[in-house]
Amino acid sequence: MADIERKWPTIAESMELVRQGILDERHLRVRPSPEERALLRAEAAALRAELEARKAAAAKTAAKKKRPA
Amino acid sequence: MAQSDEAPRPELLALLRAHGLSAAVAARVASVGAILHHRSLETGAEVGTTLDLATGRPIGPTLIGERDSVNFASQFAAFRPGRRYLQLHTHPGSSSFSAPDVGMLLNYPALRTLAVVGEDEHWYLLSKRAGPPTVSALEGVLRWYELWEGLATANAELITHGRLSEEAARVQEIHETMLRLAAELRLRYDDVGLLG
Repeated sequence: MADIERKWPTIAESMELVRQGILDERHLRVRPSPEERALLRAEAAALRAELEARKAAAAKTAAKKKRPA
Repeated sequence: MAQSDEAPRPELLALLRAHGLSAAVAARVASVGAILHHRSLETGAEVGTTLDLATGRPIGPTLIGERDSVNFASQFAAFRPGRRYLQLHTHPGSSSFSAPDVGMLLNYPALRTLAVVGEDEHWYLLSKRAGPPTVSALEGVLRWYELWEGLATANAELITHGRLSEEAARVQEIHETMLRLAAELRLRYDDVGLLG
């Protein structure tokens, strides 16, 4: 990410600010470049995969608990 | 906080009522929003406050941030059990809600409604509906980015061919992102400009 001028926060950075109660919205004034968008897309895809894996694991655990001994 | 001298726009009051506010609280929110808008123009900073939804009273002093940011931590810390709140802030570039705005609404259970006033006096409203939240704050923020990316891709093509300006695309795609996101997450979303 070091070589790209970043105008938008990453999703992780956005979440950290949310937890701190801070709204930092300077990115609303500009659209990110195609290169920056590619980075955001990659981060979103990785997070989506992680969330889906977590959901699948939780569903598996719940199904196991429901099964009679 | 002083009241604004300007009469609130009827269409704004109607939308605030549609988001579940009483007539008195809707009038208060419209008045406070007008004051914040003036303060934002005067100071060149993003400003905000949080109001108790039952009384319409701000729970702390107006927060004056920096050009494009404002820190609500002190007001989140002042939340009281059993109360519900509306957070109101000004927006750089007069756009609709950012991903962090959505994250903020979903992250704090007592926060029921978000209202933003743009530099051009365009208002945007976002409220939780009754019932448990449909997704976590992280999932809401992630979904915002995913929806926005799809719209930005389509707009990039139009910008390249000179059929859409960067500025028009910026405001339009954030609004469209919010329309789609609110429908998916069972949130109520509305906007009202100077011309209704």
